[in-house]
Amino acid sequence: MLESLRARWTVTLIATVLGVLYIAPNFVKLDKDNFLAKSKMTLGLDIQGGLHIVMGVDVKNYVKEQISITARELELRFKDDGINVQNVAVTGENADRFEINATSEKDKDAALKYLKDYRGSELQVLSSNGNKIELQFFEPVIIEKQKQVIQQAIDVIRNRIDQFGVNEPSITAQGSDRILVQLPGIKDAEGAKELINRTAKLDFMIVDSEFPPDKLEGMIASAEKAGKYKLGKEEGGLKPSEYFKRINDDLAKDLPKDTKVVFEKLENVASLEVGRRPYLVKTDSKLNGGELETANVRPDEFGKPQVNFRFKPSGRKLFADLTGKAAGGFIAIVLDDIVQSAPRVERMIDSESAVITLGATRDYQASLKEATFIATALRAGALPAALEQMEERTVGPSLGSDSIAKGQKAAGIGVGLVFLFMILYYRGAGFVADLTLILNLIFTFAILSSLGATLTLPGVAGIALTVGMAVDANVIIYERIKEEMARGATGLAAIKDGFSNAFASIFDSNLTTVLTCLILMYYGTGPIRGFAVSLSVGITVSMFTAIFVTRLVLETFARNNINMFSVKRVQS
Amino acid sequence: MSNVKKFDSGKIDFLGLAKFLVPATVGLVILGMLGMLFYGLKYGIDFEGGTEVQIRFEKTADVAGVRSLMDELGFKETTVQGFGESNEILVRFRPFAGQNEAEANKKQNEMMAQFKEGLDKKFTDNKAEFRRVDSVGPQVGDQLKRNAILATFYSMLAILIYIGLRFDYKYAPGAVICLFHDTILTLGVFLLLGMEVSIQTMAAILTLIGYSLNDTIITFDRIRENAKLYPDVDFSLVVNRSVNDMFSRSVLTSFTTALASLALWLVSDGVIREIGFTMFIGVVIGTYSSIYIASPLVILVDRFEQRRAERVRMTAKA
Repeated sequence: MLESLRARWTVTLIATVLGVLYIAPNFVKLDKDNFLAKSKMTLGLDIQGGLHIVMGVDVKNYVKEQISITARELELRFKDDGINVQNVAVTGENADRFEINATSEKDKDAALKYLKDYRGSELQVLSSNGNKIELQFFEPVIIEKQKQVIQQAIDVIRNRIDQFGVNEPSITAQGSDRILVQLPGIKDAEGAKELINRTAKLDFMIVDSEFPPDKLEGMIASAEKAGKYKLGKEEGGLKPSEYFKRINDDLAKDLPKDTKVVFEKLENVASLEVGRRPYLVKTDSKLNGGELETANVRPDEFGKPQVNFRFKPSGRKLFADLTGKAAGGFIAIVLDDIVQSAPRVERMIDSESAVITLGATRDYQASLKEATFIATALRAGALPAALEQMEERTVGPSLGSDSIAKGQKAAGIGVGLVFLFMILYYRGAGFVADLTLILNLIFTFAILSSLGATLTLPGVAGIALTVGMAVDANVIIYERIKEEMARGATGLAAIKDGFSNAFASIFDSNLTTVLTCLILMYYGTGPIRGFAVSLSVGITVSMFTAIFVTRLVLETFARNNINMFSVKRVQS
Repeated sequence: MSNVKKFDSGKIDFLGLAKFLVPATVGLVILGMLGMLFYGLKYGIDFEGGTEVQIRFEKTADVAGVRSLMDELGFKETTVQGFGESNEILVRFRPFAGQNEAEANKKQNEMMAQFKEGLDKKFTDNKAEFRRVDSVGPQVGDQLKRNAILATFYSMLAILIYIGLRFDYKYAPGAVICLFHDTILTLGVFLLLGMEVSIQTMAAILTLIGYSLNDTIITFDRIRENAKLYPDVDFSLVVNRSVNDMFSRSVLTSFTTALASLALWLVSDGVIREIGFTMFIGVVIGTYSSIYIASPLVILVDRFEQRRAERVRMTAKA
């Protein structure tokens, strides 16, 4: 403990100034570059209103699908390589194993060699007896697939949410098979829910190659200028869905019949708003996602990822028609009105399967990611696995502001009552306690702000309770000092003894409260976590304010011979 | 000064009171446990699963109309009640029992859609606005329940370990029993008033587990201090004196927290109100137990210990 009063006052003063500085960004607008700009509490969904939903992802079923797809692939591959197998069956209690039934021992060895050479990192050979091979996916491969499917679902949902134009959406994985979507401040919760749950619309459309691209870009630019609108999240910016509609309405009279404008996000940019390329596509195509049977990513002969897909019989004919018409030009693969890829079609393709190769400019990882995304989009209307809503919490904006107003009032009254009580009961010393409580609140808010913590309604309750509990330390100290004085100690000596005797009790009692708060932080849901965080920060801070600052003030008074306590001296 | 006769055992005879209060309290705790066992606590939708919608109508809410809508839709076990203003209601429904989790979850989402559609159709001239929707599927409900149980378990464990490290055998049972006493009686109040236990309530109860130990710790510390100062005085008198010493402190510290909780309970609504109410009840019960229950238990353990020591001595003599 610092002995010099001046040094201790300096520490307290600096801490207070810093505290106020770190709270300020909550109220004052700062430059982005300011080092304090990030020191700000965010408001929880229960206060600012918004949508919170937890979607369950059917990961198990996805893995099952992957297993049966792989079994079919192996069959086809063996056929192509001239390896004779009767079938590749899915077996095992949980349908998680393969059984290859080769026609001869020679074929079995060939199959084994293929598996070892090309699928060795994925598939584990469990046994090989007679003409039979038993296989399964390596455990890490399955886990990786599960992670991928969650990540893909998150990407897809984020794409859709971006179209809706929400500020700071949060879409995160929760556990191994859930996704948490939080959309703060959204007004149309129903609309957003629909958007997330909707099956994506996938279309194959011919790109109108007669219409010059630069002319299209010029028309879009002048339409934006004339109508004074643009795509963006800032003031006056339109949501993508509104923007697409507006552009097409404005340009309709100047465009050829049965065409519309769709956009592709440019490579290497973060979002559609930053960079996009328009395409004019013909809308008379009948080929959509429903005609597809399967799609997946396979390496081409140079090891670059490409997307293989396979049509249903009806789709095969439509695809042949479409590629016939588009030969020499491009076909746009449009998902939810956004072009995912626009591959060039050399000639009519009359086959039940086809391949999309990706641009040569991208690196392997980027290509793989895109190929995976396109394959997923083709396969299941963009969502790699079925999603199911498991939890929803919507708070309308008016309710949020009502609740926080009432909460603030309640917390204010609670804190006020504690302040008043301390002054009534301890007079001058009570006033000192209130001062340290104010410091406690300043430091608590400063720490919460600098952590960028989320303020929730339970968090507001936590702050009011913090004051009720933090003042306990003052009470314990004061009662102890009074006791020391009753025993005959005076001024500084009483204060010194009072603090040293009270310290262990205060520390212990705060420790247990913080301990349970930490456990709450771990197990609690969002709003409750806010409660645990504000309470534990507040109580921790009280160790400094109640002990260090209270002692400092009392000692300063005592050295100037001002006694804060009136105590009857008793003989014991 | 260290004369035994002059020892001041305090104004209030806590131990005399304890003779009545301890059995009465033990009875209450047993009653609470039996009540929870046979009647069961009511749990909110966070734990039970289900949908709760807070609706604001343009004009006065037609509670009976909404009830009949629920019947028309074939929803069972629903509640429709007025809420705050005259144009606001709270509606609750949940999928029927006897389905597996995935089915129930699907059903719940369907019910929500049906309800919304029905409401729009039925009240065309009194539009309904959904101010809040909380819909918890059975899987999430189960998980929240599991988390609440785990959190309670680990909090108790952490506190028990702490008590084990901090106190010797003489004090530990008193602290532990107080912990259970406080939790059961707080939940007992919920049972008695027919109130629902929600996530907020559980959070407040966990906080109480940590907080209500404070007074006990402070009193026990004083007992140890006094026991060292007055080794010749009968232990039960030392305990009584210590409880007296600490009485105003225990009451004061609890009073400030109770004051803050009371404001949260009475002035606010929703989750803050739930936290305030639970904290208030818990702090009152916790203060009572640390004064009237914890310390007598210390004496009990002490007597038990002495009797055993006596017996050992007797057998040694024989």
